[in-house]
Amino acid sequence: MSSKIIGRLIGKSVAELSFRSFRDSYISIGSIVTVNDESRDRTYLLRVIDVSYGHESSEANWAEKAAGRMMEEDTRGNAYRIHDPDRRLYKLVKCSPLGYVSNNAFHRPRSIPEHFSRVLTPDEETMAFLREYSGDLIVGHLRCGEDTLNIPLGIDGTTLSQHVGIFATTGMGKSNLMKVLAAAIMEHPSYGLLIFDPHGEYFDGGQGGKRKGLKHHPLAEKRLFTRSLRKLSGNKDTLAIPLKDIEIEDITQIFGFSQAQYEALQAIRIKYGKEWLIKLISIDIETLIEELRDSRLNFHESTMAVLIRRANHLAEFRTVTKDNDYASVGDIVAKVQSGKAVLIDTANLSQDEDLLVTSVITRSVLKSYKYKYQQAEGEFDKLSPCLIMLEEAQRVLMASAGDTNIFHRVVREGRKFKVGLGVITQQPKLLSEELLSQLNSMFILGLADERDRTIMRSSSKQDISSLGTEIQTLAAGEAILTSPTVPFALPLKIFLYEDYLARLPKDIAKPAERPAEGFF
Amino acid sequence: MQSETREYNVIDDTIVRRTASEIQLLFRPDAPQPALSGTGTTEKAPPLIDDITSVPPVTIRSIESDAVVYAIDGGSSVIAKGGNVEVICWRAGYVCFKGIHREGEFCESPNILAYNRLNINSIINDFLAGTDFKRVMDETPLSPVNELRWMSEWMLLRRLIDEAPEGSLILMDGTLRANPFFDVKPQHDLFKKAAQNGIHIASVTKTSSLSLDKAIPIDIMEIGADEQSKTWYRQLNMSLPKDSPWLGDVYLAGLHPGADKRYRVDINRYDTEAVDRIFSILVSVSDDTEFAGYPYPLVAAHRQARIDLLFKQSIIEALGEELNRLDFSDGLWHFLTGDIHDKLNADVLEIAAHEQ
Repeated sequence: MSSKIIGRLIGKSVAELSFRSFRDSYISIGSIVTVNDESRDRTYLLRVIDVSYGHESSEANWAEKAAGRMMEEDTRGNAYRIHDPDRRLYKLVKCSPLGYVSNNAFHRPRSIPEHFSRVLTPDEETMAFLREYSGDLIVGHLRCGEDTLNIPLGIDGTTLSQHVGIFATTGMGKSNLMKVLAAAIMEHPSYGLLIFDPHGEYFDGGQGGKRKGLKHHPLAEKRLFTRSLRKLSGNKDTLAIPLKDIEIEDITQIFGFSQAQYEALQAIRIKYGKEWLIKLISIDIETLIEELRDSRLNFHESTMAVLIRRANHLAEFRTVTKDNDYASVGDIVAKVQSGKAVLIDTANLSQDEDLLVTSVITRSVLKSYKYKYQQAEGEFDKLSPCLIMLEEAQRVLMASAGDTNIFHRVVREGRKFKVGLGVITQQPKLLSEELLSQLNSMFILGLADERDRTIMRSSSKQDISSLGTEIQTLAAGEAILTSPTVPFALPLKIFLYEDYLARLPKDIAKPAERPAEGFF
Repeated sequence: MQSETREYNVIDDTIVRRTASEIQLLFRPDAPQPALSGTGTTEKAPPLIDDITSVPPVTIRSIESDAVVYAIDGGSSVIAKGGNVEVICWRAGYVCFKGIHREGEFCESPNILAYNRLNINSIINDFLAGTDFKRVMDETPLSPVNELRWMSEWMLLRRLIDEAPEGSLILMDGTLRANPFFDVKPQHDLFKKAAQNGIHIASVTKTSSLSLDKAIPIDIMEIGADEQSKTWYRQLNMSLPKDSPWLGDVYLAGLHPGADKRYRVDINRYDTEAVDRIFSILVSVSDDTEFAGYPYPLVAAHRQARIDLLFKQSIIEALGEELNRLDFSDGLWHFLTGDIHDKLNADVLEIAAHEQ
């Protein structure tokens, strides 16, 4: 896309600039336009935040009157026209100044361009400075309104542990972005990935084979490991959670416990160690009470009855195994830490079982990273930073449910231990502002609900307070990326996953396992 | 077509310096003073019909015209005035339309002139030097700026008659009347030449003083209701004598069925065979939403050439600075130019009211 003149600057301040454009210009919200200030050799970048009608007329309220005359004559069959339309009609475009580029470096806006400076559509040469900020996990191209420039953009893998948010209303391209981001991570052996997939759409694309999934990625055989109880066409292992890997914290996701019950659980955990759940499902109430009494712990029979009943309920989950030699959770953690991608398919699990699986594995990952952090430094340094992608994150991160579960802990503590949480939801308004503020990188796709947009605007790392209309009008596959590592909230067109796969180098699966630099 | 508004309100520094020197000379105590007299070009009406109902309206055929339509107009203003001295400013320009789109435009730099009644004739003669305009009246015109603006417009008309493609229509503001200050024959010859070259000339009068009964102007007189719903014209003049100063036949026309107002239209008297075509072209440029019934190119020409209050003020300021450099009395200059701040502020207030 080459640069062309679309208007002249007419106002008005460092905080807001506006320009007159041609009546037949097609300028959409979110477009980035450039202004050349030749006197200072600077190129200002502006983001379009509103487009309105303008007209030159000596008559007050001319447009309303003209429309009225036209309507009147429409009914009579007499024609009216607008003569000299290119002179008398125009568009007024309101913009938010993003900054200026000088000597290929981006600077924050502190000044305004010359009066009546030319406004141009951006070209790749002008926007090339953004390549410096594109990161190594490329997910799309720079979007200029409804067009794109060949400037690949994404996030930097080193920031994965600083958490990522993906927010979109259903149908706006959330799953597609997830697959593209997952694919980009898979192509980097230095980053680990753990995906929980409650909808069963990431492995084979779902939708009866119409879409492609992660298994279709050429590196899937080497770098994707899938755990599922479903019959899937492709390489996968059985999803199993040994009882010994389940902790009290995990089951509090599923059951509510009274203070007495909780204390009893802790007493049991202390007395029997990692075998606590196995003990609960294999012991009778009287023996349990007796054994605890030996430790000078007295609990009511009914309390124990509840705990035993719930433990047996857990043991009936199809993913839960009594086989302590089953090392599935440990294997998952090891793969993530060694820079592999692990997909946990929970599509056919009940909500409780899904929560249990997600909690156990997430907690185990964080625990392992923390453990190695506390060991010799060299060991921890070898670990790949990882991202845990959590679909329907509002289930466990809802503001109203408190902030004590493992997922909140990952958000609070994970950064230090190279563990990031990928928060994916269509209802960010259900999350707390504090939690959202911990997410360094945010992909904001189309959000229909004003409350969702409002909380996004107040939680972003960049000032996107003026982008309400842009977010509202984002089409499927269009996104805004905010991150401390990019100079401004970047408008993106996310690759369609199928296109992304098609454009991968043919030799990507060869031993080097890394795409040639800049192949997008 | 994508267009940008051009800037014509630019003052030439050389003209400012020359005019300031002239003003200084005119106000020297030993400057000669003329007698207070002058002659105007009082307009005499062409011979008209007695009763409008005696000529039925002719329906104008609507055509999708691809004719190029030029519109010429001038702008003028008295910048300063005191005693016998006037400082005047004028210019002329044209716009060119094809269909609803502006195809071209031209506007002169403003001419600025300081004179008194003693030297105005020689100044006008200086302006005529190098042209084929010949003065036949030596009297001082009552409004020199009007005569000078007329000359500028006519020079443009002559240029366009040579340059415009065949079939074009050139519109003038006002009436088509030869200027009696100048030799009338070349003016008639110019109109004959235009007709021979297939260049049509017409003028439209925004507000006419012409009346059939010496009371009500023709453009507001009562006419039958049947003319409200179509486009039409009626010829109002009788046959013009050969030596008449009138260069155009006079018509009354309704150029848009939705328009409230009808206009006096003059059409080159030597181009009678093209009257129907000319009215069809006029109708095709008179359907603008804002100015229905009036040819839009004349609106555009007027807006381009006019010397508005803000531009007038900038001329006053430019001259004032130069006079100050020449040690001319600041107080006298203020006296001559009057205080137009109130007018300027009224304009600004009006703009503010629009914006609200």
